[in-house]
Parts: sequence; structure tokens; C-alpha cells
Amino acid sequence: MEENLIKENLFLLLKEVLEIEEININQTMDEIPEWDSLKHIQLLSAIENFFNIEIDFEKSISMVDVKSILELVTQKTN
Amino acid sequence: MKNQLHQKIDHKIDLKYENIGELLIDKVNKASNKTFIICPGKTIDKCTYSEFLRNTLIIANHLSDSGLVKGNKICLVFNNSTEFLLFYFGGLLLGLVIVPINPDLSSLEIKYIIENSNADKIYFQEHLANKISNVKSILKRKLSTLVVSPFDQFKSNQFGSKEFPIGELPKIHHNSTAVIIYTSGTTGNPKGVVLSHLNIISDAYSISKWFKFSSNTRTLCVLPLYHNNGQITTLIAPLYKGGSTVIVKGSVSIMAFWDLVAKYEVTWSSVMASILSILLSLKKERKDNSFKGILCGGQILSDNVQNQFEKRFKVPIYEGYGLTETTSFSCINNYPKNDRVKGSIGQPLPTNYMKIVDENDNECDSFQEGEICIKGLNVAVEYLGMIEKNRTAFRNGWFHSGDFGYKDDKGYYYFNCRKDNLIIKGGENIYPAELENVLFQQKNIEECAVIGIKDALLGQNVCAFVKLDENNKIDENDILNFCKGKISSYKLPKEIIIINNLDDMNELPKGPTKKILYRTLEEYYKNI
Repeated sequence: MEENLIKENLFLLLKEVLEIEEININQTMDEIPEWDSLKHIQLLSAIENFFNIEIDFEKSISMVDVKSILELVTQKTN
Repeated sequence: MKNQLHQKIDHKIDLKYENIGELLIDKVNKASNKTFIICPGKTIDKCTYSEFLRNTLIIANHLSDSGLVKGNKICLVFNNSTEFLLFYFGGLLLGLVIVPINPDLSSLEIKYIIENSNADKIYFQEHLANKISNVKSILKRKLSTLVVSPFDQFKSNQFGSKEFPIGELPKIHHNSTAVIIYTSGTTGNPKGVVLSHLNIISDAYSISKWFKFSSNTRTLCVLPLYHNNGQITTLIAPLYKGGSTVIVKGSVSIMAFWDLVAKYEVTWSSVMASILSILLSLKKERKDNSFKGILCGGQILSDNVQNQFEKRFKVPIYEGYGLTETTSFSCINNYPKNDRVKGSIGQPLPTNYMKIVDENDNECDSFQEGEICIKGLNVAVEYLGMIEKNRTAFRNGWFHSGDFGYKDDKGYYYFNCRKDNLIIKGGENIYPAELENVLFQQKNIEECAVIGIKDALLGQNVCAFVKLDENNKIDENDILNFCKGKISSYKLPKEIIIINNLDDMNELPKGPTKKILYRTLEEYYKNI
């Protein structure tokens, strides 16, 4: 999957799961009130299912901001 | 200080320890080099019993140097972390009262807990600095706060190296308050449940005895430590037998559940039913040889989820029942797995009794539905500062749970439903009034009612029925945006139904006394 398409789909997923209207690459879990622990689990689960990837524990720990999630999904998808 | 009537039991139990500090120190003396805590995250914190006590005494020394003395209250706004544990035990060693706070709560909700508990100081993690700054700006009185660095940084810098001398620790009676845990309240404001050292030690004793925990027991704590289940079932219960606990930092532990079980050779865990559903939805399979079982409570566990889970992962689930008011569990299905009674929440723990009563507080016959009541060493002292609520909830020497169920003729208990309209979303309790109070602040909302709706993963989610005034100018998004920031995000409605837009409902359904009929709304929603 192309990087732009991954980003587009990831942003759609983030908005859908977190139920927010806007998201940008620099945002972190702490800055978005809707991104609480329950939503975080739903988000990681949705990412695994949508992109058909498996997220390792070591990687999942750093997935607390949009940029690192995008990097990981891009790396796993390719 | 004596046990209250609702805490009395007729048989003798030797709990061995007067307070939680004594329990910890005894285990250090017996196995100082044994691993007690493993806290994996970006860095892995690992402490033996003696290392953990040393760091705890450093924090106790800091707390004491800050002027805090026995009976003072400290709020801990922390996600699961080693830092939380050190402040939790450090405070308890000094006889401080710990008030753990869910960091996901809104600033207004945190402010309420701080003021209601009359806390003396607030400790929080670095990433919560903005939120705590907001809280400080709206507090009615000035209060000292301190940001706590991650453990791997503060152990050498932030709190120095001076340990509080064990010989100078204050004497702490088993009836002294240890922890105040806030739980959702029917009126909208949370209630502070006062738990003593005795409550915590007795519940931990019972759970460790029930499952035959030993010094080889290693639990995985995936539930938040600011709630009772995480604290008691997966931390204090293994500690009671000199076992160990794996506690994952932050919020990603469920994703890593099976990896952690395998990597750290975990033997037990405790979860909500919604977590079992989440694990079923993930593509991860079990790969360990160590796991013995999962304790499950806090939400209704469906046969379907239990059967699917046990078939796929080959792990027995032991359903139990309890509330914050019973410290954690008050009954659990039989161990080992072949002794379990299908569909039952089990039998009372050794430290408490249970009964089912009718509306006149008379004990029900077998199979007759009534309110579940509990009394025993693990039943909370009281609700903080709620005289009337204490009188009704703890009447006649029994805690009245507000949950309905029955007992069979062999003494096994079964859970049916709640008396009130509590919504349990992913294990978090939400009372309709919490959101309704916020909705009513919107000037165009004439009336509203909040119900729980089914959610495949989380068990339940939140739906708000709203009637707008004649101006009728706002829509669902306006209402949602109005609520944001005034209440925790997880309490926001998943769905908002404006009844002005419905053909078959002009106003919220009400009974003869004009009380809103929540059950009718639930039925209505099911048929939409």
C-alpha cells in the first residue's frame, strides 16, 4: 500500500474510532481527550484488522502518538 | 476502633497482619531477593522485594519530609506504573490515606474528588501536567501538587536516597483507613468508598486462599490500579503469598496480553468480560505453558463469550462478583475448573457472608430473586461523608448492593440485574445522572434520559434521549460538543436521539409519579 493511502486510511480510522473530526500528524494521545485507554485498545485492534497486520508488544508501547503509529503501520504494511 | 456491624463475622480468621505495611515488610524479610514487581514499558522496571521496599521507604521519607503525617490524604493521579506503586505503599507505610484518581476523568471530575476527599496533596505523572494545572486553577483552595518523573529517572534524582527508618514507622490499626476509591454515584457525583487496611488484607487473603496462590504465583495486572480490582486481585492477593505481579505501564497491556503471559510466565489474571471480548477480537493466540486461569467480574459474562474464549485459548474463566464496597470480590465460582457451577457467580469468600433479601429485608427462599447483600471483613467502612446513604446502604448490619440475583438450594449465587440504571462500559461504571446533569446545563434541552445500549466489545455504551425546547435549533453534534470537556470522554454518548425528530415519541416515557421509565426507553431503543 502506498504511503499516502496508508496515511489517509489511518487518519480515517483514527477519526472514526476516536469519534473526532480533525486529526493531524503531530498529535499525541495526551492531547486528545477522546483518546482514552478504552479507545486506545479499540484503535489498535481496528488498525490490526484494517491493515491486516500484527502489532508486537514492544512496538505497541510506543504507539501513543499519530506519527509513531503511522511509521509502524507503514513499516509493517510494506 | 471496632468493626462495624456490617463487617462482623462469627468465625475466626487469622489474617496474620495488622496493616498492609506489615504484610509487605514480612514478605521482604522472608524472600528479599525474590522478584516482586515487573513493570514493562519503554523501559522495564524490575524490583525484588527488598529493592521495592527500599524505594518505597525513600518515597515514605519524601512524604514525611513534605510534612504529611498519619491520617493525611494524598491523591495519586497515575496510570499503571512503578511510580504509582511506590507512592501507594510509601503512603500506606506512613498511615496516609491513598485516594487514587483515574487520569481519564475530566478536570471538573478530578476537582470534585480532590475537594470531596479533603486531600492534603496531589501527586501526578508528567504527561498530566496540563490537566492538573487546569484542576488547580478551579480548586476552591490552594493545594500543593508535585509532578513525579518516571521511575528510571527519579530513583536516582527526584527523591534522593534517604530511606524512612522502618523502626520509626507509625503504628497503624487494622481499622485505619487505607484507601478511598471513588465510584460512580446515582446522583451524578462519585461516592468515596472508604476501605480500611483490614478490608484490603482480608479480601487479598480470601482470593489467595481461593485459588491456592503461592510464592510462585505471578499475576498480570491489566486493569487500572486506581480501581479496586487491579489493586487487590492482581497486586495485594499475590503479595499475601509472596508472589509477584507484572504491571504494564500505560494503556496497551490488553494488546500485549498473551505476549506478556508467555514472556513473564504469568499464572493468573483478572479482567472484565469486555476484555475477554477484546482478546477474542484480536488475532493473537496464546503461546505459554504457565497460565492457570482468569478471574472475571464487574460485568455480566455471557455463556457465548466464556465458551468461545475457553475453547480457543484453553484457559478456564472463574466468574465472580463484587463491588468497590466489598473491596473487590465477595464471591467466586469454585476452583479448580471442574468444580465450577455453570452460570453461577459462586459462593461467598471465607471472609464474608452473603444473602438475598426481599423489599422488606427478609431473607428470600432458594431461587427467589431479591437484592444481594454482603457482610464481612472485606465490606467497606462507609461512604465518605454520606450520612443518609450510609444509613440506607449499610442497614441492619448488611451492605445492600443494589444488585439483584438469587441463591440456589446448594448455596450458589446467581446475578440477574441491577436495581438502578448503572451502565458498565468496558468495566467503567457510569450512572445516567452523570451525563444527564451535564445535558441539563444546555439551555435548549428540556428533558433528557441516558440509557445503556449493547456494545459488542465494551459490553455497554451510552445513549442519550433528548427533548429540545420549542426553538429546536441544535443538533446531535452541538449537544456532543457541549458535553465535551465537562465530563470524561468515555462517558460521552455514543448515540444521541433527539425525540423531537421521532414520529412515535413526543416526550420521554414516564410513570404515574412522572419518573422517567428507563426500561421503556431501553425497549424502544432495541426496536429502532
